[in-house]
Amino acid sequence: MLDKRLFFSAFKDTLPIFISYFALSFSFGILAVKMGLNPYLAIFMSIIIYSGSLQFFLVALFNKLSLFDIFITSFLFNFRQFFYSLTFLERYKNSFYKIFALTDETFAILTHKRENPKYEMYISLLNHAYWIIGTICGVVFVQYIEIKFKGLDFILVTLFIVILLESFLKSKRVFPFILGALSFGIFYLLGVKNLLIFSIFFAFVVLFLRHKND
Amino acid sequence: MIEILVAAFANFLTRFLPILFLKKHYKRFLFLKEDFPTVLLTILTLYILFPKELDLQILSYELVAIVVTIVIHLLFRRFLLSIFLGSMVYIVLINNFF
Repeated sequence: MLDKRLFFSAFKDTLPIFISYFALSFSFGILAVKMGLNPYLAIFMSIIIYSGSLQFFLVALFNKLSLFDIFITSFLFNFRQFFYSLTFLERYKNSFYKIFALTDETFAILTHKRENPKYEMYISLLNHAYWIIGTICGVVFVQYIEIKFKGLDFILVTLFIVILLESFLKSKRVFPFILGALSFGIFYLLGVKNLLIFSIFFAFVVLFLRHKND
Repeated sequence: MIEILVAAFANFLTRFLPILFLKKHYKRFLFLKEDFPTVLLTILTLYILFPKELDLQILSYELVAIVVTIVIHLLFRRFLLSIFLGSMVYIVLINNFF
């Protein structure tokens, strides 16, 4: 049964996330349609992928990537979620949906809260709902208001830049940036065909060797 | 369509691997936790900024917009504000609005 008081408190706790999820998924909906994706597929993506930056990345680069690229990039891109699930291993045991819906923001809210299966479910459902509703609104919006200018896909870059900047401000370490730039730079200059995979694999090997030597 | 399913499946895997069968071996992957996300995002960002056929005009717009994004973010630390103002600058530049 729905626990109204608990649901309301979950709603209050997720309000800040409502604003950012709605704004981002709204832009995602617009961009997806602008990039030629079927509106229903855009909404479908928000339902079954439910991962902001990955969705932006996919719609921006759909036609440039092979299926293998998409698989590897999507997997590694969201590999951090692996650690969220890991952290919540005991707490979440059998809830398929709650594990699926464990995004950065949901994780952030729940790590500070005491265990409560119902509350966790409400938070997960609400955040997922904001994401889907925002996408639907974006997709509908773009049907009625014609967007004549180009460059909307740059949202992806600014999104990444802000995440990277935040990561730097928190860790104060330049090593990962140098490694990333180097991995990309080498294979870009070499003109390798599978640029993305090569650079990612190279970076992975360097990290692995560095870890082995510690 | 198939692209979406592949991405969704890969995404599922990241969320379910620990629960499915990596409970015992997860310590082997811990070394990826600290740096890998940032390294990967750096690569992806560069991948978008530097396509095979580079257009220096576009790249210069992109760099201006990126600098604006960074400055605004350092000033206000507001995620959405930085993203929207930064993208706005790029859209204005690339469409020659002025």
